Amino acid sequence: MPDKVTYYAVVDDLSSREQPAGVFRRNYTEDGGRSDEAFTRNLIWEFSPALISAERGDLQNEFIEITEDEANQIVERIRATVTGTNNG
Amino acid sequence: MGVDRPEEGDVPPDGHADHRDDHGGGGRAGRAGGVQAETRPRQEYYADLRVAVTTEESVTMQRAAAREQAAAEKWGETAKESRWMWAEYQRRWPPGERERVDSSDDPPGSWHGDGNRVLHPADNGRVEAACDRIAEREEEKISPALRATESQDPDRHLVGFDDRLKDRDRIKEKICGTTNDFSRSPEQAVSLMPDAIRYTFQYQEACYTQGVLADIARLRDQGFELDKLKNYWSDEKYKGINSQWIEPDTGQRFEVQFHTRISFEAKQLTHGAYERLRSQQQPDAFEQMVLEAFEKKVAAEVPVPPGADGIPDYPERGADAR
Repeated sequence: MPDKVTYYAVVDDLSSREQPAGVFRRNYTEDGGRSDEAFTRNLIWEFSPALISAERGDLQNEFIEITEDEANQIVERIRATVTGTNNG
Repeated sequence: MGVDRPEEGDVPPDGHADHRDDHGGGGRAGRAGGVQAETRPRQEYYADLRVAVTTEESVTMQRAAAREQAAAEKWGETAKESRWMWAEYQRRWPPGERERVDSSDDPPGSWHGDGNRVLHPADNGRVEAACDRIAEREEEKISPALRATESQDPDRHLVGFDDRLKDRDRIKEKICGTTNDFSRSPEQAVSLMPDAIRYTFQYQEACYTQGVLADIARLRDQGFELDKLKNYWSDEKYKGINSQWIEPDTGQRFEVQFHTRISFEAKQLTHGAYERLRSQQQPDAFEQMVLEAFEKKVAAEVPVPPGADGIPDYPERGADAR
C-alpha cells in the first residue's frame, strides 16, 4: 500500500487545465520507493514514465498537482469517454 | 588653439569622464573644492580610457577564465568519480539480467518496444511516414536555420548535431506512451512530440546568460515561434534550459537545449540512470534511491552560470505545475 499519493492533471498543447489530457499519480511507499501511474485508455492505473521525463526536460506535458477528488473526476470523465457514455 | 577637455562635452556614455583614476597615469591638475581638472587633450584622454577599459575587461575575463578553469578541474574529478560510481552500479545491477521482449507472435509490419508497447501494422506505417516528413522538415528548413543562427556568434556552438533526429524506436516508444496514457491518436502523438528534432547550444559559463537570451532572440528572428521554455538550473537532478519551438509553415515542433560544457556532460553521465528510472521494468525502492542519489550528486557539482537561474520560464508556470 502506498504511504502517500500525489495526483496530477496532465495538460498538453491540445488540452487545458479545465479539460486535461489525462490524470496521473505518484505513489510513495514506506520503504522509500515510488511508482508513477497514469489512468490509461485501458481504464486502469498503469506505469507511465511521463513525469520522470518531464522532470528531465521533456516539455510535452505539464503536470498540475490536484486533489484526490479532482483526480477522481478526471478518471470518471476518461471512463465515460472511453466507454462512450460521455454526454458532453 | 585651446585644449579640448572631455568634461566640457563629449562625455563618455557613463557620464563620468574622470572616475577611472586608477588607470592611465597623470594628466590631471588640481581644482578648487578637491575636484581635479582634466588636462589631457581629448584624443589622448580617450586613448587612455580605451586602454583602461580594455585592461579592466581583460582582468575580468582572466578572472572568469581562472574560475572556469578551477571549476573544470573540479568537474574533471567529479566526472571520473561518477563514471566509477556508474560502473559500480552496473556491477550490482547488470543490464543483461532484465527481461527481454518476445515479439515472435507480432504480425508482420508491427513494432514492439519495451514491455507492452506495440504499434500495429497500420499505425506503424503511418508513424513511419510521419518520421519521413519530420526528417524532410529538419533537413530542408530547421537545421539550415539553426546553422545560420550558430554562425552569428563564434563563442558558442551546437553540440551533438549528428543526433538531432530522435531514433525511430524512441519516437515509437513515446507515441505508444502518449496514445495509451493520455488517449491521443498516433497522429496527435506525433504532432505533440517536442523533441523528434532537437539541438543543443553549448556556452562558456561566463557568456551563458547573455548568450541564451541572444539566441532566443535570433531564433525568433528566424521566424520560429517559442512555444515553451523551462529553466532547470535550480533543479536538483538536471541542470540546463530546455525549450520547445514551432516552425510555423509546417507546425513542426523541435527542441533546443541550452547548456554549458559541464551541464551537457552531466546530462550524458546521468543518462543511463534516467533511462533506468523510466523503464517499464521498474527498479525496486533501493535501486531507485541509488539512481536518484547518483543523479543528484552529479547535478550538485555542476556550476550554475552567473544569472542563469534568473532566465524566466515561458510561459510562466503556476506554483502547482511541474
